[in-house]
Amino acid sequence: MVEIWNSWWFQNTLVGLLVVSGIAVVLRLRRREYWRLAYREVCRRRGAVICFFVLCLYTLVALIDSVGWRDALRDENGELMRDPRTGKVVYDRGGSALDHLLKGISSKKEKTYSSPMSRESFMLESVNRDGKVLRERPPLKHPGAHLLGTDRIGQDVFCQALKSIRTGMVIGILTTLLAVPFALLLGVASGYYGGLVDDILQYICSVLSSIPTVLFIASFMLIFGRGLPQLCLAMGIASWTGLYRLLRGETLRLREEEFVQAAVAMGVPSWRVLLRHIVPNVMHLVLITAVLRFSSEVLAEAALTYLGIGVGSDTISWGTMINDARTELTRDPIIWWKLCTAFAFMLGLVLPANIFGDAVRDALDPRLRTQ
Amino acid sequence: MSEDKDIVLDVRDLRIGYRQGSKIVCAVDGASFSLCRGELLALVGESGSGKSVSALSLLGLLPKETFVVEGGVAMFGGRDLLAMDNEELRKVRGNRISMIFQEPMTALNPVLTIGWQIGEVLRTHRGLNGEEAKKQVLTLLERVGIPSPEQRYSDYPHQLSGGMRQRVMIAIALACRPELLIADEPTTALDVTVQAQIMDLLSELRREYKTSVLFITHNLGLVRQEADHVAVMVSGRIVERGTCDQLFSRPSHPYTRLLLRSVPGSGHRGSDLASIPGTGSLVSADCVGCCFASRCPDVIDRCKVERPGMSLIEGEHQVSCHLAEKNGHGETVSSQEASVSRERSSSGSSILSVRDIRVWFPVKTGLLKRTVGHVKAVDGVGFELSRGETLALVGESGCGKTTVGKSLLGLVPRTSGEFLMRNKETDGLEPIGIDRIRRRVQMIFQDPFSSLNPRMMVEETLSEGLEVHKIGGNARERKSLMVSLIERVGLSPEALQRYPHQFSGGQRQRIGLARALAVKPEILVCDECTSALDVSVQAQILNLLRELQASLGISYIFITHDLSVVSYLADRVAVMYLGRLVETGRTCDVLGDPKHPYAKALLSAVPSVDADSDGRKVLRLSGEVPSALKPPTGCHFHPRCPLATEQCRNEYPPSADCGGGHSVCCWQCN
Amino acid sequence: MLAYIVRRILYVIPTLLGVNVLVFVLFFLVNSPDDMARQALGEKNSDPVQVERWKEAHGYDVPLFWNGNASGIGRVTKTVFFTKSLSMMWGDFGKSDMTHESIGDEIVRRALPSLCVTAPIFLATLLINVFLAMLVATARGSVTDRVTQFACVVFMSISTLIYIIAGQYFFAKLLRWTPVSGYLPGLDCWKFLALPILVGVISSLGSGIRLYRTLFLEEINKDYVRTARAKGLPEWQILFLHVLKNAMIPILTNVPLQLLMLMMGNMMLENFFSIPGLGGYTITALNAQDFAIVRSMVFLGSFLYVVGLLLTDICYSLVDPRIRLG
Repeated sequence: MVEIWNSWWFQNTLVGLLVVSGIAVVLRLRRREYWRLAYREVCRRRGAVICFFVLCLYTLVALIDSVGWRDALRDENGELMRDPRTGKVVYDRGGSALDHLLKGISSKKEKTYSSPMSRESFMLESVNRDGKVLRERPPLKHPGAHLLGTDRIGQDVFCQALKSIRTGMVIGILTTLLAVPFALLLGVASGYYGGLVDDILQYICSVLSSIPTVLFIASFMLIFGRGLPQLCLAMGIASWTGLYRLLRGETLRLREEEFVQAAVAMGVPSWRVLLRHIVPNVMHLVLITAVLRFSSEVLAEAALTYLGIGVGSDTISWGTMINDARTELTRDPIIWWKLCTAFAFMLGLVLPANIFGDAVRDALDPRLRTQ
Repeated sequence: MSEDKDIVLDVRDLRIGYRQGSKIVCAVDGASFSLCRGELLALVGESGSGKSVSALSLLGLLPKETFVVEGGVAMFGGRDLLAMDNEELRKVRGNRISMIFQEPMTALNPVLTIGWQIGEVLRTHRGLNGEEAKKQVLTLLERVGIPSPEQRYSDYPHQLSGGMRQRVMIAIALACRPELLIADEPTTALDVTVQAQIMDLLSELRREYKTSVLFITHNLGLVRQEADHVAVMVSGRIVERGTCDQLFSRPSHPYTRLLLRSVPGSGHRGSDLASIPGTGSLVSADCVGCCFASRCPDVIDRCKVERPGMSLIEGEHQVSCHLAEKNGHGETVSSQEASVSRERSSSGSSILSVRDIRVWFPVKTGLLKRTVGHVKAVDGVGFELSRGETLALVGESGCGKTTVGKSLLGLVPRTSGEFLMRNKETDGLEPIGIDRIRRRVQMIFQDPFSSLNPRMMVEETLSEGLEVHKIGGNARERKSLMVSLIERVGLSPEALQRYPHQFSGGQRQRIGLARALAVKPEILVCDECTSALDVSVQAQILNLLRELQASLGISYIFITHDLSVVSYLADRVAVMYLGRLVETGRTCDVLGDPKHPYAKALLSAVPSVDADSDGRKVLRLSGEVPSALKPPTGCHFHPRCPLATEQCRNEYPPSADCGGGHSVCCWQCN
Repeated sequence: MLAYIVRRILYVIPTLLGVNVLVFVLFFLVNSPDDMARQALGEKNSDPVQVERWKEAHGYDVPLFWNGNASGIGRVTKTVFFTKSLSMMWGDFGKSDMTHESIGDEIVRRALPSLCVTAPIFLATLLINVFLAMLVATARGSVTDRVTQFACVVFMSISTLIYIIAGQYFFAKLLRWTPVSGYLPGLDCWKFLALPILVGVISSLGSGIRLYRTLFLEEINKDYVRTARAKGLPEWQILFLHVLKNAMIPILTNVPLQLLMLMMGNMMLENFFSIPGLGGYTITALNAQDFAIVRSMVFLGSFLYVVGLLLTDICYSLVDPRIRLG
């Protein structure tokens, strides 16, 4: 299982599938008047458009980081290395396309800390010069190459921050993608059919939602181990109940609307009523929830990781970066760049997401829309 | 004209703008009117004509984000209301000018007792302390006809019925004995019998307190009955004003004339009602001509380029129309003459037979949610419907008339009873399955704004029924069917490619009609399908319905509370009260000579625009419709019935035939 | 009314039972006692004999659901499900897997420090939020409103971690106003609590003001406010009597639920500031893989939530006149 999940072709197919279906959904929605109007409404706000571009930039980085990339190994003469038995080209262990692009910087390792754009190491070292022992900062191996400095083991902080983007985006998107179909299907069915189905679903929902979210995620991670997929799953399970309730309530309201009654009176079968009349009329709520939830999930990842119930320490994320950086603040002089970088990159994603989310909500919320 | 009289309010050239995006359109464009002491001025107009906006602007109650008062003066007690600052205006509000709103359900604060809410006015404006205020509030409650005021004092609004709440609103409004009362559609949300009570109370109180009333309404019957003066508003301008008699006997503006002729009634039976094209949308500020020019059947070139001034006809009767200036009275030969009456194709043999339908909703309470009783929404209703016939189901809200219609289409499950429909092969009445019923019976709904799926194009809405019932073999055939349908209801084929929000209320109702007609039903259930529309738009829809009946031979079950529509359209009437039929018969019989006291009361509560109805005997009902959960014993109507006897209290009366298919359920009529 | 409350209380039991079963499934079926033993003993020591001994020492050596070896009622009671999971229903949380201390005692001991942090945060946040939101809602559309709204979004977009780290850095390290972390029982605790409380309040300000602002705006746009204006009431009376009384119903009825949940503490703050509360307890247990404590905390949290929800519903029916009779 794990091997397939981690395999090169599986990852790339998955990413490709996601991108294609994303584009397909957008194209489909563009044909609908309602979404076109909402789109125009969002576009009227300059702030939201700027935020959207920032989000696109982040998404792009995350996508590049998700595309698997393998380099063929070459020998000293620059010839392709081949398997002696099969004659096939041999590849390196592989990484993402982003790893490939960043190879120039990330391979420039230092010994330890160095401040941004610095030419010399941050740490004083004893140097024996003309028989005298001096404390001075030795020059870096790659002076001026580290835009945002290096950390304790000499890794480039900027590269880490860029690599964290994927973790944040995956949390934000995958959690929603896991929760939404469940919530949509169950919420709409529960509200429309009522009866026993509704009772059972309501009971499950009330049991699940009575466990405090953090504790649920904590025990889930404790049992299934730390990691990105587990975290997404845990957060997805913990968060579908809210949307389920919202959609159930909305469906209950819509069921009594005259256009639904008209469809029923017309003899339209119930699955078709759900699909054509109910679901399209709750999709705006789904989108609003998804967009508004995105940012809180990114923030939650950092907090959970810090508490030791998020992604593992081998996954680079803003949470792990802040966790590492915390002790560095007590040093004198303080080492601020890692913390600040993680903070800035996180803010750079969450703030636009929030502003954009507000714009989307305002554009889609029927209460603010004039008839 | 009225210099000798005591003028309370004098509004001159009121102009109010409405922000639409970045531009400002005219909501009110130079309205002028004045009110004398003790007089009732009715401001009449269709929705969006600016009548409510004008009234709200006087008290500074317009939301400042959307409306701007651009000019004008409103002299009240020697001061200009529009020039007052907030604090001065606040001292006038509720004290010297007060207001009643349309929706009694939401206008009161849900978490404060009604005693507090009335007393608040006295404490604020009269500076009374708690004790004094309470005493006055109790007298007020008594005065507005709320039984046992001591108990009601500490009730919350949700414990009162709609009519009672409106009485509380009146008590609040009249607590400080204001010089002017603004009533914004105060009875629109109420049932006719309650409306009659409230209107009686209002006119009684205004005579007693000598309060002037600015009465905003679209109900011409009420205007005819109550108003001293009338001002007609179209698109933010006042086009005609005068005394009530002048206006109703000699309407001079084309709009007023069409409006009066669009009110349905028995007088128009069999002929088309006059209708006014277009809607009363706001006019842009640069509109130079007459605001009605684009909709006027008698329009001349001058109307489009020059704005007509107010010209005097006689006395206080003024009109703003170029045609009126030219020939004095504004009488023109309008092309909109009544069309030739068409005979109905009613064939006599019944197509649908409804047998003893009951729809009971269980009421569950207690620990184990046991069923402790039933709301008997429909409790044994039966009737017959012939081909091409229109049967009107009449009653007040909550009487179960809508439930009858919905149970026919299986939208609510029925507890017992059956529907029989004519089988074309055997020509006999047979019970029919729900799938077949939904092909042969269709429904038109009340609210044009919620009856169409906002996310679906008109084409998709129409094709749904065709697809489900497999009408039209392929997409092309269906398309041509839809084009003919949409043309049938008076819209252009381009409408198919548009979304519901791009249409007006009347147009949406036409689309709803087209959707129902798509499956070629034999019976159409029209559930209050015109009550959310303006009178002139209602006229268009009624005309369309008549025309469709004549050409397609459809039968209608017309569910309504509006008796004027009934008298215009229906062949037979069934009056419902608390889930049961109390009187059925031919329209002329039931409306002309009602037997049941409820039917009599209902009929006399409806204000009519016809002058000859003034001498009608008035039968006022006390109280309101009881809950269907615990209907009164015996005859359901006995607690409100002036003729009730011991027998009425104990036994439900059987149906008695008065001849000619006219039957009635009343002990007193047997 | 009484029937409603009784029915509501009766509904609590199946919900808690559901939580109990869910916890059991997660902690004993997905992750069996054998796994637990192996995790506790470490890879090296986990031969079958050691595992059995660990299970016996911690009471996991009985069958999960049905004990065929026991007799009478013991067949049901002498099982893992009964002793480790169902027993939590009546407050018997058992002992820690690692330290063997009674979890129930520990919960009682640690609830107070937790409350000392969370209760002041909750109250201060409520007051500040309501006050500021009211101010902003009345000035809707103004510059103040827009600036505040933007500030709220920025505040919301900053991770709690950053607030804590920045707070510790400025107030404890640079200004030396408060200790960095720690806790003393008794009245002296305020020195240690000041900073976590401040940080807690600031970190929840953004979302709080936004939430209450929409709540107030919704009320201000209702018809009864227009009626109140038409009555000529002074603006302050409309706001502080009519609007506030309506808007406070959902806010205040939520208080019992919030108060109960406060007991669970704040994991983040307690961990950073080394406060010996329940939140910190949970985190320590998580890192030590002490399943008994985690499972107890999950159930305790759900219990408090379910009871809080019950109280909220009852409060609603008492406070809101519209529900009182319905």
